[in-house]
Amino acid sequence: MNDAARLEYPQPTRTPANAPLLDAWARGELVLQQCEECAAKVFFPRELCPACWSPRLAWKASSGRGTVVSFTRIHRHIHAAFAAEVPSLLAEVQLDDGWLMLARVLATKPDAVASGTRVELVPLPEAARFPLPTFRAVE
Amino acid sequence: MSSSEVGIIGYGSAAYEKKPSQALFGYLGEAGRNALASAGVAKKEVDGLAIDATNTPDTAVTFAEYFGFGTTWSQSGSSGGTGALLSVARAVKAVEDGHAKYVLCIGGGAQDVAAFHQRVTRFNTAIADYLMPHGFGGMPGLFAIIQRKHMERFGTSREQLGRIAVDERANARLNEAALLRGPMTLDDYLNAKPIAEPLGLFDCVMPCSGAEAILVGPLDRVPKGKGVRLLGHRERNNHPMGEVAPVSGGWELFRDELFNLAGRSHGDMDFMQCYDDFPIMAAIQIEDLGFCRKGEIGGFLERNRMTHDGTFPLNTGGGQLSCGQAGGSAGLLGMVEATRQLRGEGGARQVKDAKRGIVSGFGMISYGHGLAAAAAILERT
Repeated sequence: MNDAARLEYPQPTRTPANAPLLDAWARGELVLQQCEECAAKVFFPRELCPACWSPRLAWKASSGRGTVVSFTRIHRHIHAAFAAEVPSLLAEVQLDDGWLMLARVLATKPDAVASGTRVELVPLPEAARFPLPTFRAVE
Repeated sequence: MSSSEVGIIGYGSAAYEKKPSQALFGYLGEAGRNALASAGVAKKEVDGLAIDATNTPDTAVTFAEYFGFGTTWSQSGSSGGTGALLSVARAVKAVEDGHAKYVLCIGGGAQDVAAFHQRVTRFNTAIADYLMPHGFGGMPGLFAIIQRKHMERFGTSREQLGRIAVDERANARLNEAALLRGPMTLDDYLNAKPIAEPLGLFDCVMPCSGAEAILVGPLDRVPKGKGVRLLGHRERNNHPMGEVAPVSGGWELFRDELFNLAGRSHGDMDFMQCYDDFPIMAAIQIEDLGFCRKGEIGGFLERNRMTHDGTFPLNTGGGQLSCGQAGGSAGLLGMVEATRQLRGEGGARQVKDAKRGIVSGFGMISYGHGLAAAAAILERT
C-alpha cells in the first residue's frame, strides 16, 4: 500500500499541555516533561506535576533511546488504519533518561523483538507519518 | 438502625444479547423489575436509585424520571468495573443513615462489539490522545503487556491462566443466561486465534448488551436465608502510581483491612466472584486479595479447580468471559451471582452450602492499566 492510499492514523487532540511534544516530534525530536520543583519525570503531558502539583513543568530533550520492558504483538485492531500493518507492536518502553511510556515500536522482524530489546526513535522522514513519538528496534 | 439490619434483599438480571434489541432503558428496567420481584418489594416502595450505565448522558435522576421513581437518594456511578459494586455498598450506608428505605442499584449497557470499539477510541483522555494514535489494539493490547510481564517475571504460563477461562466456561454451561456456553478445552483456549500476543480470543471478553440489579433494604423484609449482609468493602484507585503496566492493582493495599473489617478469613470464603475482563486480571485479583502470594498464581491454578464444585469456586455463573460484558452491568455481575449463591438459588451451579464469599471489581482502564480496584465480603443471613 502506498502512502496516498493509507488511512490516516487517529490523531491526538492538540492542547496547550501537549503542543511542545507534538511540535518537537514534527521535527523528529522527543521532548518530555520534568517538574522543576520535585524533578519528577512526567508522561503523558499534564498542566500540573502529578507528584507535587507544581505547575512548573519544563520540557527536556530526551535521547529517545530505551529498552522494551514488555510488549504485545497486535493482530486485531479497533481502528482500520492499523489493520493493514498487522502484526504491529506496542511496548512499554523505559527510556535511558528516565521516562516510562507506551509506544509503538517498528521492527523489520516483529518476531525477533523481545523484552530487553533496545529501541531508538524512528528518524525523519519516516517519522512524519506517526502522530506520536514512535520507536524502532535496534537490529 | 444498625448496620447489621440493612443489606441486599433482591437481585435480578436482564437477558443478555450479542446485539441490542432494546434501548438501555429496557435492559435496566428488566433487571430492576426482576430484582423487585425476587424481594417481593413493590415499585412504589423504592425511594433510592443508583445507576451505573455506559454510553449514556443520563443520570440516576433522569433515569428516575424515565422509570417513574420519586427518589430521596440517588447516585450516578462512574468508576467503571468497580462503580456498581461500590454503589451497592453506598446504598447500604444510605439506607442505614435514613436517606432512603429501598435502593435499587442497576448496572447495564446496550452495545455490540462494534459500538464498544467506538467507545474505546475515546474511553478517556489518556487513551484517546496517547494510545489510540499508536494503534494500541484496544484493551487486549494493554493486558497483553501486563500478562507478558507477569509470565516473564514469575514464570506464569498460558496453560495455567487458561484454566480460569476453561473452568469458568464449565460454570457457564450450567447457566442458561450465559451467552457463551459451548464446550471449551485447554487446547481450544491455547489454539484460539491470537488477538494481542500473548492474548488469544478466549482471553478477551465479548462486549454485549444486558443489565444486572441489586435491591438494598431492611434485611427483615425477606425470609432468613434470602438476605445478604455486606460485611465490609474497600476501594483503592490509581495504584501503583506512575507505573504503566503493573502486575498488581491495589487490592493488596486493603485486603488485610477488609478481612479484619469483615471478621472473616480467606478460608471462610466459599467462593470468589471477580472482575474477569481478562484471565490475567482475575489471576491478579486472586493474588492481590491474598489467596496466594504474588507471582504464585500459576501453581495455585494448577492445584485448584475453579468450577462451582471445585476447590476454589470462581465466577460461578461463567463470569464476563462466558456471560459477556454488558457495559456497566459487568460491575454488578459478581454481586448478583454472589447473592444468587448465598440465597441458595444457584440451581445446577449452586456452591454447596455457600455461606459467604468475596466479590471484587476492577475498572477505569486508562494509560496502560485499570485504575480502580474494589472488593466486598458478603454473608447470607
